[in-house]
Amino acid sequence: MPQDQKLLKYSSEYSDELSLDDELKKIRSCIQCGMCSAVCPSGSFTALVTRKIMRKALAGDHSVLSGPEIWYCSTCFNCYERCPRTIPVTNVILRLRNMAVREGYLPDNLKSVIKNLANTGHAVPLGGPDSKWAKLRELHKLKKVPPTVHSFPEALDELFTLLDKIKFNARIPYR
Amino acid sequence: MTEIKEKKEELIEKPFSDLKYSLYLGCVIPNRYPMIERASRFVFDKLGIEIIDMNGATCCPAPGVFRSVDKALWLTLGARNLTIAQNNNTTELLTLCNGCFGTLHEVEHEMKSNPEINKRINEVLAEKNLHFDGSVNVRQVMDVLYFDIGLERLKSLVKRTLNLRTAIHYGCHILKPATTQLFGQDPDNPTFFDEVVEAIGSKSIDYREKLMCCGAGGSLRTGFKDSSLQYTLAKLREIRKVGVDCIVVCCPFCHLQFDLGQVEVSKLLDEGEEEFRIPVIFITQLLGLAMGYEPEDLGMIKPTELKGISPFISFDPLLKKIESIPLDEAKRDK
Repeated sequence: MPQDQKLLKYSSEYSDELSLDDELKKIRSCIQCGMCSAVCPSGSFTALVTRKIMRKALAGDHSVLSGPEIWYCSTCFNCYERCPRTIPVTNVILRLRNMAVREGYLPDNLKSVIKNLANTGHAVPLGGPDSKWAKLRELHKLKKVPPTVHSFPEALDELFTLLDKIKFNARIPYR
Repeated sequence: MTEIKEKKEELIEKPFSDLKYSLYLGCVIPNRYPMIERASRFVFDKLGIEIIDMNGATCCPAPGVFRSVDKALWLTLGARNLTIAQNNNTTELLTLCNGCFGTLHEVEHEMKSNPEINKRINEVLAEKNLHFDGSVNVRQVMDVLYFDIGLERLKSLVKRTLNLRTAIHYGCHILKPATTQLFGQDPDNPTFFDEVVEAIGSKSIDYREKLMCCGAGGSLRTGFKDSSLQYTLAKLREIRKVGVDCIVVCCPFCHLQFDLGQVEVSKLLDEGEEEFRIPVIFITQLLGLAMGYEPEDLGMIKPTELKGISPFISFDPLLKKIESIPLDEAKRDK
């Protein structure tokens, strides 16, 4: 099997929920020009070299999933806009992250945010009606608890049902 | 007779009563930066814009963390949020956040343009008798100010010409991907935010790295905070060079990154480098001030009874300056 097929085959094993591989296939047209890295702000501050990410992904190099580099992207979409081969580079990185998560490579700090969403419906929850944030809302003359999922228990049940339906908790066991 | 007169006055005071939106709050605004919610609700009310809450809305879900973790989750919950605006009988969903806009606008786009995704996500939603019928358009507050209200009408709202020197931060997801965004402007040379700020009587001061990301997005702040602060520090240093009264944002996550971030970058400063103390305000706060309203009506207070709350950088120098600026009418009277 050609090298570039490996990652695509690998990704198809995880496309049970949706067919999302079209974007990933576009990396086949990468010419390694380095435009994506030249316009990447993260590249100035971290070890992220988007050009290398594209090359490794194309070669089916597993270290692209196990390494931390794909998580250094702030998704500013500069690379997406500038790629002369119109590869949606940012989306490819996001897709690689999905695959990395299934392999168990998720930065620790993200786990609590996932837990927050899966349990409360908010990535950044209020912390209850007695929290300092609820008090701050009151000082701003707002309802203590916002009219989001926080105020509607039935909406939270709806969220849990939908998460079960897409087998989220089975696939991403961080709740 | 009195009744008619009152109605007339209301029409003058509330000039945009033809506008109606479902308001999507997200997470950071209601739960960390409620002053943005306060200012925005206050200003929309004064403009007569009809706002309908999106009861039971969840996280958009955030494009950085959740799109990275699982695209199916991202699409499912995003589409569920769209159905809330639909069931409110509104066609326009208004978000005050670039990240929520990025997610909801792209989910809207996927649901409308990709039949396979539309079918599969609606199958999931059917479990709770929900169905996204494509009748909702996702809007961002800048887009509403720029298109629905428009520059000329914005100019007519100004009762206090502030003439502030502002550093505008656009953020990323309102500009890119350009193919799916609203403004039809070059993402490398956008002007809509500058045009709005100038229309309401302040100056947009150019600075290097103006269009660079704040560093918070993509789960970078959550996962690797020090790396994310490097972006913020680079931008803050450029902003300091040109000298401004405040930074103006249209996204609560950028807002947080610049506000709390100024405290957090302290440990990254060079030896002897001065700490940052630049007030950060949201576009609806600047608009409210320009309309002549008081800072406290716009959430520009710092409660002393609570510790560790937003804003982390004091508004004081800005408020002091604004206090000294009279209403335009008073100036004319002189």
